[in-house]
Amino acid sequence: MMNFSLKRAQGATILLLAVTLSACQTTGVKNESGVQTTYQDSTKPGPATGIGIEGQDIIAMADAMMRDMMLSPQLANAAVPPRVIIDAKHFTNESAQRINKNLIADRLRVGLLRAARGRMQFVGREYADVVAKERELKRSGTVDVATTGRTQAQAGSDYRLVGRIASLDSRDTSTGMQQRFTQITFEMVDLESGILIWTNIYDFTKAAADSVTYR
Amino acid sequence: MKWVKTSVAVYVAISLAACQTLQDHEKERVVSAEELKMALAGKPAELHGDYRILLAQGERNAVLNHARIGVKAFEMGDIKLARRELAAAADRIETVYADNTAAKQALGKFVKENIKDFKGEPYERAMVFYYLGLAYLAEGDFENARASFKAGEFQDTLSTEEEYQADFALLNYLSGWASKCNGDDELAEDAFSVAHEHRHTLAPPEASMSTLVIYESGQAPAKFAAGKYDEQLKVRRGYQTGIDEITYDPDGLKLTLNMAANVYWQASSRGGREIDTILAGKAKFKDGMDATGTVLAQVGAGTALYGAGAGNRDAALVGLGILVVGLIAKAAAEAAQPDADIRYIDVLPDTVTLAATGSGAAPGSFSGRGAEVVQAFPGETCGLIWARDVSIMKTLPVRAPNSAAPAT
Repeated sequence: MMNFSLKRAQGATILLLAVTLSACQTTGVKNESGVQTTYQDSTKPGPATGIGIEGQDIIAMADAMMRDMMLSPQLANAAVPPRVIIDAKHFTNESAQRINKNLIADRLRVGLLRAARGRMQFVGREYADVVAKERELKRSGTVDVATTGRTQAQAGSDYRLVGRIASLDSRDTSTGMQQRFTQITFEMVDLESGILIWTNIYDFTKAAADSVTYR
Repeated sequence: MKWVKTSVAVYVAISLAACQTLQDHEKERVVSAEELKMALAGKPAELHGDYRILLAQGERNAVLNHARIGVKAFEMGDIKLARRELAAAADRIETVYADNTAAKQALGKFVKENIKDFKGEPYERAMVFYYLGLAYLAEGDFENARASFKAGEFQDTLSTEEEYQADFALLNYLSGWASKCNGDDELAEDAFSVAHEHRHTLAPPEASMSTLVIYESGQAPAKFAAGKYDEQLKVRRGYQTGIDEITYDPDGLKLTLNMAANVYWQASSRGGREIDTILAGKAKFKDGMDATGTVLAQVGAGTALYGAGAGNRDAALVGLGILVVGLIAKAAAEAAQPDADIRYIDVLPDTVTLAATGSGAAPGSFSGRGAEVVQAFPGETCGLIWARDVSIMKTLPVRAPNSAAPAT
């Protein structure tokens, strides 16, 4: 009986030794399989988020601004539909976030154009070069006049969207919380008088903290 | 005997984690030829090795490798690529890593800190935004340049030492420069004023100045581990020229470049990290388990030998049991991984000097060690001349220090 127990103890020791030695071998690479493409709801935060402007903010702000502009009598209820320019040319980014401002301007213009149903006219000033070339071709007789006829000049505009993106960052080093206040100012300026005929602000504050391993 | 079997199983499990100097996550994966071919399509041949490493090291080192490729592309003058790569790094830095699986694992006692996705220390994050801002400047996108410099400055607020928070005067100055180029004079004035406050050598440029000359010298601060179990993150200064003032000589004009940033200073003045406390705890655990294991193993072995010698089966088994528990404690101590994460972005310089001038982006020579690399970006509104004493393309390997082991 005694011999049997000792033999088992010896066997266990040898096993432990063998396993310890084998544990010192490297075990190869675990390759991550990745994530299949999935469609995300653009109106909600996605899996990768920060404290700056994200897709859902652009959608929400463009929608809010569009609705508010549609309530402006000078814009949406004028006797003669006003001509407006809505692009990012005079929309300044002063914030700490890199952004393609066209995302905001394009969304706003498209939304307005569809909602206005003729109550506003939109001048595509950023395409002026393209228009100028076509006009030149028509006037030189290289191409015909097409179907809508000629105008004396390209369309002038009554109003233009201007604005500014600004932000204020702060951090609490004791908790690791980082916070960004973002304010986007939208204004419609009368291109003859310089008077602002409509203005609004969209703002939000986001706060988050990285895992302690990053602090 | 069931408990002996269970103990052996526990020991085996822990032993599997122990002894490995490299954990699985520290090894590169094998990149197939097909995958590599797709990834390298359209990429400059000089960077093919770097892109292979980017693929092999994956998301864990994505910030590290995108940043390295971005700076190398900048040195090559491929600004579009530099901007894209640096933006890829910057986007990840700005993403909030909360409830992140790898970050959680890094807190575990048996996993090294470097399992987490690399974001870099504040000075590294700030410098990623510095290069990204320069890329935007070179492209003439002054608003996004300014945003990048501001974002870099925000990264510097991570310092726990309040007096060193947001003291990256270089970024304040560049934010001012971007505003000046964009015609935002008030914003420019504010930023130049903050830069001057932090570093008196950085005087606001005159209104007529439209070209910025930047000269980088020396090597990046190097991270290393210290402490009994390599649980402490330390930074040592890389190669330095020791020259604070550089003269640039375009068209006979002697322009003095002033010190704008000492990257080593930024790296060494952040104060402690919160993760340091956790790593110290892991080291303490390792010490405690090792001491306990040693005592138990000795007592167990003694008891087992006594039992065997005296023909006392029960004593021998009890001794064996204590020995096994002791071995488990020893294995646990061995498996504990308090090692600090010492991956670092090695493409950064030691110092950055700069000056503004009214002359165009004409080529000229730099004093001191001279410049192995000079890139000129004339621009319509503002020009940028960027120079570096030593080419990182020529001197640095494709793999960042301590990043991962090659696939075997």
